[in-house]
Amino acid sequence: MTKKTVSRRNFMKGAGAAAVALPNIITSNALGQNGVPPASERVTLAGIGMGGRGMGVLGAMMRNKSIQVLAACDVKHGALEGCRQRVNKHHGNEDCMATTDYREIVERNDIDAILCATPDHRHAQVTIDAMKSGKDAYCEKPLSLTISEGRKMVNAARDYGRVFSCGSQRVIGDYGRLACAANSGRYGEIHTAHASPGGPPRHCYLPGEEIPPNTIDWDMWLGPAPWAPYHPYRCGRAYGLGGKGFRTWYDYSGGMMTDWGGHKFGGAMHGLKVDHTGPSNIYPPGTRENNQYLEYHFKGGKKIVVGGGQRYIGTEGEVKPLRELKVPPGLRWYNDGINSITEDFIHCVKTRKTPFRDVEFAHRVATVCHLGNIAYTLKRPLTWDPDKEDFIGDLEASRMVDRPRRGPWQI
Amino acid sequence: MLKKSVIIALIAGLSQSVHADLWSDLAAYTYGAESKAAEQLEKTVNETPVDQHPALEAELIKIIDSKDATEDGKHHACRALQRVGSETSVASLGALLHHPILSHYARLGLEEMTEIPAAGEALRKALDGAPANVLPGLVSSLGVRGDKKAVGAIGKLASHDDPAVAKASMMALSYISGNESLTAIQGAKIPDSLKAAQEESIVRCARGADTSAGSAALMKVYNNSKSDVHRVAAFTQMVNVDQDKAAGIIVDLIKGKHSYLRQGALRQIVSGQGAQLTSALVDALPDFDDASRAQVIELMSRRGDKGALDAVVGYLNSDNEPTKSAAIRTAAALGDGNTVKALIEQAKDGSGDQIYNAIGMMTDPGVNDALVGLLKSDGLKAAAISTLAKRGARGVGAHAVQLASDGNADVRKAAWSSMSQLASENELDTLMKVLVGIKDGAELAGAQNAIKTICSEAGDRNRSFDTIANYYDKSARATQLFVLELGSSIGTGKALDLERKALKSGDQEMVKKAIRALAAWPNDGAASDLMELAKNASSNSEKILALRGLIQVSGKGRSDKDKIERFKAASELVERPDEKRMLISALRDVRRPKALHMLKAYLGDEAVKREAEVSAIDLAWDLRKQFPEDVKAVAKIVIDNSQNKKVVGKAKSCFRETEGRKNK
Repeated sequence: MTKKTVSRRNFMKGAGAAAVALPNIITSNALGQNGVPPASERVTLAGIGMGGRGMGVLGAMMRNKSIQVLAACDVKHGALEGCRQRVNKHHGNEDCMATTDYREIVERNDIDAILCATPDHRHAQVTIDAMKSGKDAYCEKPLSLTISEGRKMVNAARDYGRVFSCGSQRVIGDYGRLACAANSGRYGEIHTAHASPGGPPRHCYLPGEEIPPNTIDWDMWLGPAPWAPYHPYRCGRAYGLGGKGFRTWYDYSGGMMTDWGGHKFGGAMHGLKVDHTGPSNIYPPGTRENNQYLEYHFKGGKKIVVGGGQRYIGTEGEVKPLRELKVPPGLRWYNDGINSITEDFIHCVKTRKTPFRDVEFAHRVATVCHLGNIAYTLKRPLTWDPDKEDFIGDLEASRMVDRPRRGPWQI
Repeated sequence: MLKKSVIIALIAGLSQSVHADLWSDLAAYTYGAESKAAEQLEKTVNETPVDQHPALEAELIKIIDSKDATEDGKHHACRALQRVGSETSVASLGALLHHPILSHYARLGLEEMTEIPAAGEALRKALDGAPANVLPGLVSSLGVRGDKKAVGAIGKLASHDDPAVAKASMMALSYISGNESLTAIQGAKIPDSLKAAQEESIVRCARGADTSAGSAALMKVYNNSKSDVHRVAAFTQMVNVDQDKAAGIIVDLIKGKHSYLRQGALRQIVSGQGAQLTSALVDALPDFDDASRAQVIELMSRRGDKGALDAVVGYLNSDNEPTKSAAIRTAAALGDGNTVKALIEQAKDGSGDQIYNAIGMMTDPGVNDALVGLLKSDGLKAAAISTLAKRGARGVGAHAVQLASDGNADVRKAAWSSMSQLASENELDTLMKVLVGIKDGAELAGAQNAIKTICSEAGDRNRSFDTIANYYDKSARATQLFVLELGSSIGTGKALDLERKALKSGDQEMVKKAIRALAAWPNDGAASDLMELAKNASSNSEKILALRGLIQVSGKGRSDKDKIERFKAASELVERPDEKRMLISALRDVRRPKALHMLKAYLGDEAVKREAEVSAIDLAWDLRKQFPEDVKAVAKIVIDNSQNKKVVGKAKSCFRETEGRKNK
């Protein structure tokens, strides 16, 4: 049997008119029964990019009873059907729309928020289009493929007044707790953070293969990326830099540098209290005396060293994870005590508060990742203006701040 | 020297031959071919110093210009030119801009060569006769470059039949910005399906236009758009373009009933910049309803504009509770030392905690000085000292001590409540002088509490206690009882002397207090006194208390030998099961065979047999390697007699291990 559902958005829109035009009859569904919150409390959601990670996050969100998933999108047909079935089973209906074109979701006006878990090169387009149509956005990390598109994501969130949270359970979780501990005052002024994300991506030279019928909408998968022939490893889900998944390739991802950097630099920048700015100098390994690792230097003498585990060094001691994962009492960094990244997002959609992992914070973290990749490529010290978000005195580096987007995929 | 130059020449020659292969391979490259030319090119670009880029560029241009080079080879050459290309490569890249696939690759370089005007010229030139499928990319690249010379041409394309071209053109114009772009976007002849894209572009473009043009365009979107999202975006952008107009809209929306727009307006209180908006909000505060006023004042704290401070302070004594609470928080967030008095004056009628918490969060360095200044003002002293304590102020202990003798009981109470936060061990002598004169029971309890905390947190606790103990004889009985109790947490010789003195006082209450204090002694210094009391105290209850204390402090002996001796002495006095259990429990922690033997004695005592079995086997397990024979004897008794399966199991394990050890 199909349950008829009423979204929070439509309920709120209709509430004023109903108060005037209708007698005081409210359906049991709208009031909320059998553990389902009333419509005014529900958040209607669409999942875009519903591969392994996307389904994991969607599952976490659906554990919150106020979430009602109305639509799913994936350019891979198998993943899309799997998601549709799981959502319908969860809600006990057949209402979940399934599409390979996210723009059909963007056009719907009954959806409050989207979860974007596509490959990295699609994040900016999907979330910006969603925000411009009035939807809040939760985007998996890493936030962006380039520094420039990250800034555009921030601007869209601000211009359209949207809640935008970027995923990283680790930054709100163990790395966040470590950052809190670092700032407990016991270690003096924290001046150095160590973080060890993975390496940069590579260019993809895989040959073209015939696309198996009814498996993937290839042009839609490429989106703004340069045209390239289909190969299953080009768009594969395999994790890491082993050459069997999209995360290996420069055109679609910043590699493990951005993937783990989203967590680790996120924690480091949080703990150093530089999550609203960026470094002024970046030194790849071997470009200054005694720098074995990539280093980011911030104004005021703080720095991040890429290597040596996740830890902080203060003027009065060192903070190590094993010893300091417990948050000292009185230090609460999260909205109303919530310490789950997905719950924080849902809470902020309802209350309109700024999420813990707000888009500006996520952008600053992603920028540090991208700067690291650029420094690894150019192998020379770089000077960065964190306000203008451009390199100083290095035209070749400046050309890497952004990448032209293909055809109609402009943001 | 000669050798070195020869080597360099050889390497250069080798490098040239490698490069020669690379360029011919790249010209023939296709995806999936065995050639590694594309990878080799990437490596070469990464390894070539900037001053050698021109040579690299020349080779790349040859491939792009070649009629025979493959599409994939040109594609990778374009990628490389994004990094190393200069004005020299513009013409070659420009020639690719109409190609359905290579157009995008050519834009990689041309879009990013922002310092080279010829790159823009090539992109502009390519607009003529370009197929529709490459036009969105071309106009977008010009938009990203902010190419004002392209406005006329892109303006025409904004009315293109192909929606993708029209949409990309409007967006490009919005990034180029300026009045001319704005006019072009507004003048675009577009179908209704592109209205949203047009409004979005107008909103973005308006920021770079003249104030009047930008403001008029935004007002048009705000007034006419069917999309609430775009209406919010319009007045949000208006804050950057025309602050007076934006302020008026925001104030009206906050007063209004449209919840979505109102929400957007409230958000601007936090994020919208400009003194005009602050001023408009302040002026409108009296006109807002109570709920809105409280909301606006609350959000002013996150806005952070001190221009609102005076108005906010005016609401500190509001009759409306939410408004008053919001005003307290915001006045503290925006204020400094000069705001403190106005806040402190409100610390009455249940608002005290709110005030203390709010001032507690103030970061201005002048706040503590302002509070100290208020310690001289009758009526504000209590609140000021409590707030200083809440802020954890340093160096103001003397003020707190002084207020402990104030003529006003409320001030004295506040002073003693704050004392442990503000005063240190250095002020203990003065505090004791004050304390011995206190008559009121509640005040005395507060004072004792403060002194106890200062003493327990002191760097030199022994010296601190000695300071307190010096006042013992001058004190009233209640204070003497307090000192006796405090002594049990210190455990010094001087403290012990006071307890002994109390034992001899003949005052039953003092004696009991002393026995309790000795029973809780932090070391074994009180053992002999407790032994004596356990044997000879006047009442049975005192004997029991002393015996329990003896068992407890015996476990704090410096060596296991001391502990065993004391436990032995205590065991001779133990009669009741409760004390036996205490002793059994304490013996378990002494890892000596003698302790095991003492426990063995209780294995046959029906009253405590079960506890003895558990402790004996636990201890036996710890000793099984060093003392297998002792352990084996105890384990056998337990195995033969215990009803507790778990204990028997562990005893068997002990037994097996000791057997094994013996066989070895």
